[in-house]
Amino acid sequence: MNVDVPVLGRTLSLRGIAPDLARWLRTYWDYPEHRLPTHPYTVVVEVEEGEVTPAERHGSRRHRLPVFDFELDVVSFPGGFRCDTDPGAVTCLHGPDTTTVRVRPTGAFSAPLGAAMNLGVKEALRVSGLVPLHAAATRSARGVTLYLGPSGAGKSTTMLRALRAGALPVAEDFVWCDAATFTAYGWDRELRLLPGSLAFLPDGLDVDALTLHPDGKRAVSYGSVAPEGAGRAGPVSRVVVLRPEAGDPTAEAGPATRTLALALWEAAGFPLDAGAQRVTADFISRLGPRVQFESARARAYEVTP
Amino acid sequence: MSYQQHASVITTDLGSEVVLLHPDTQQMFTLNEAGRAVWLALPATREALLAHLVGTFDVTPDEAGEDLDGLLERLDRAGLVRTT
Repeated sequence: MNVDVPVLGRTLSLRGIAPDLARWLRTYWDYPEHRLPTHPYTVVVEVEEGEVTPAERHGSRRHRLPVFDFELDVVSFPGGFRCDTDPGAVTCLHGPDTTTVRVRPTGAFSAPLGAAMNLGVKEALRVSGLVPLHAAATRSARGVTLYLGPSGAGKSTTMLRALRAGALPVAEDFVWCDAATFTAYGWDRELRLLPGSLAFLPDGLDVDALTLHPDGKRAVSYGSVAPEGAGRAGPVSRVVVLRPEAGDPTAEAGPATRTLALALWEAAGFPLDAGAQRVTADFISRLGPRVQFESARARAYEVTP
Repeated sequence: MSYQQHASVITTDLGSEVVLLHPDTQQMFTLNEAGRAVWLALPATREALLAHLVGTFDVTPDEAGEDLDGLLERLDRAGLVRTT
């Protein structure tokens, strides 16, 4: 099966891969609401046949990376990476205008293989000029506000409080940012809320009717907390770094630019490719002077839309 | 002896300081304004770095030398620089 999926203007070209793999990728990457003008970068996902692409070569490095619910062992090398899953393997090779993600056929779909494929697409999009951020986000007339901070710092709760104050939702967990335009795009299908956050949902939602996931989180559709057709994208104008309620005292200190840069790097994660690293570092250094910056503990933060 | 940046260290220049990300440990380091001046002047010898600091900041060679040696030692220990 061959199919092209637009991803923030880039083309994700799925060539000859098994229908269940293609379906899995589309579930994650196909966001019709975020259609953009065509960008020349293409990400090809195809079946790897013949000789295995060697991973160990000059300049290779080993990494253990968290992707979804898995820890993937990855060998990066100049221009790409290889990840052997069991079963299956993924090789990612970056070119000037195309990244090729080669999937070694394994028969049945496996979740680790899917995670490795997703890592390849993610790395390709980084190379193409996009920056992923683990963040909650809202938007208002001023633009998009990103809420950053470690797990448990209160990103989701603060986002819900902002919705109550009149903001619109962009993302509860994950956004992609265009490093050239500083536009953020919400990249999750629903809000997934821990019990402690449910009290901050807009009035009138029947919490007991919400889908309960195995991890104990309740799923809330974006349609139930925003007007129909409300877009989940916009230019980033403010970044709020939420500090943990207790713990690491070093999280308290430091000039605003440093606190912001460290929080953005934590949210962006580690790019494997040197080109993607440059994109991320440049984005972080240029974003700081453009946005309003605030830092607080979530409970003490006075929310404004 | 000349000091040079570890080739794979990711530098984020914030104008008045820099954030360094080590690719192997994924640890982050920050350098203040003087540290940034040293980092961006690499590759260079200790003598050249000292002259750069004295010429850029209002410090004596003795003060700058002490701070520079401490900085270079920390950078070396963190694997952020190499010597040739």
